[in-house]
Amino acid sequence: MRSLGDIRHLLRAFGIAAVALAAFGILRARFVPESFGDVGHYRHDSVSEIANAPSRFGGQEACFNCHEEKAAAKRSSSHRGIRCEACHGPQGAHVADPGSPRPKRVREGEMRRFCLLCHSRSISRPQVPRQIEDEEHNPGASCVLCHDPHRPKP
Amino acid sequence: MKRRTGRRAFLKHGAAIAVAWFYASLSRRVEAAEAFFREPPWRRKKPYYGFAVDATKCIGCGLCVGACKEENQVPRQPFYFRTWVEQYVVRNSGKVEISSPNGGMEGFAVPSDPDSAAKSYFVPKLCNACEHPPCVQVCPVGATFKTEDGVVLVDREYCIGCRYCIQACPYGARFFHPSLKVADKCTLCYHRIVKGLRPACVEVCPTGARLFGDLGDLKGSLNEFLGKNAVQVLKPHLGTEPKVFYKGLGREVR
Repeated sequence: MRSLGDIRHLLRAFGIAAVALAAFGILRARFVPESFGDVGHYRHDSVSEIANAPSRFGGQEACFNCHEEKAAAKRSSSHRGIRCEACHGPQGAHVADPGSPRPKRVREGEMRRFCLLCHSRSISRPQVPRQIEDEEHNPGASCVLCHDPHRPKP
Repeated sequence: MKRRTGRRAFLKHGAAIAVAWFYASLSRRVEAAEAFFREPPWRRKKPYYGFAVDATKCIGCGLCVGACKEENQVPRQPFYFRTWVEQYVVRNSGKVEISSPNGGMEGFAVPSDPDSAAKSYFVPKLCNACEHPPCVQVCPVGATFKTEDGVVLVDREYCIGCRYCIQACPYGARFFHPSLKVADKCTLCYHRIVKGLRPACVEVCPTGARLFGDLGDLKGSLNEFLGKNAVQVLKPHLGTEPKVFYKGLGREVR
């Protein structure tokens, strides 16, 4: 059996390695955030953080709860596939508190420009929806003078 | 070691192990385990989210781009988009013009010289929710990841802003958030879909060009669409296996 003095160099090496390992373990425990590695190589808490972000659009179903006449009119019209917030903008705040924030509507002056976003003729568009040439179809006139946006048959 | 127990014993034991292994593989439990791992992930975990884009229906109104910016507080400057729309005009000469003015948010101009255009269409684009996301693979710290329901997300608290993932994404879906100083991208409106709502872009699309659903729901609207239509994914040669399926793309769409 060799004496301890003969393998001192090995003990030194292993000793340093053990200290380094311990230091690594302590630093790792301190710096790696909790929930990291729970499910995969990421911080699992961030999934619920992201899922709890606030939402600005309410969703069409929420509109139908109160606005039944508009919903009924739209349902049988050519605009039935268009959900309410496409034109009315995000109404999540209005759904949460129907009293205070007034729903953002397309302003009168912007009406024509807004409708033409979908209805102006372009070769890039498929046949649906029905398209018009801006200069030939009552130029400058607001679309709602003849068309009800919730039941747009003229 | 005696010579008699050397080679012969090895071969005898080896043969016994091989036969036992073969019979074990026939067992129903092993078969079941193998079948489990061969199943696509949306048979294993519910829900497993997917997306579809019908480019034959997109009219380039750009409402989706604006809605996404509102819903997710994306910076309004013209080069930060979680989703955007591209216009393709293929001329008779074979030349292809691709444009995306401000992501398509205010609509598109009518293509000039319509008579020389063989075809023209719009393609909405977003994060492709890859099954093997290159962005996740390259993240040095584990700040971007794929959730158990198939959505690729970015952990804002943990991202160090190295931009490697932005470089890695072959679809250009990621960008560097100018004020948060982290990588950002379309999350399929994760905060909405986990509550049963539609993503904002799907909610406002007037023509139904964007579809969202659960790939695990075999009778759901998304699988119905995928079953009825010839769909493809972008850049299939890269092996990312995206879960966003496109209908009606020409060969010029990259």
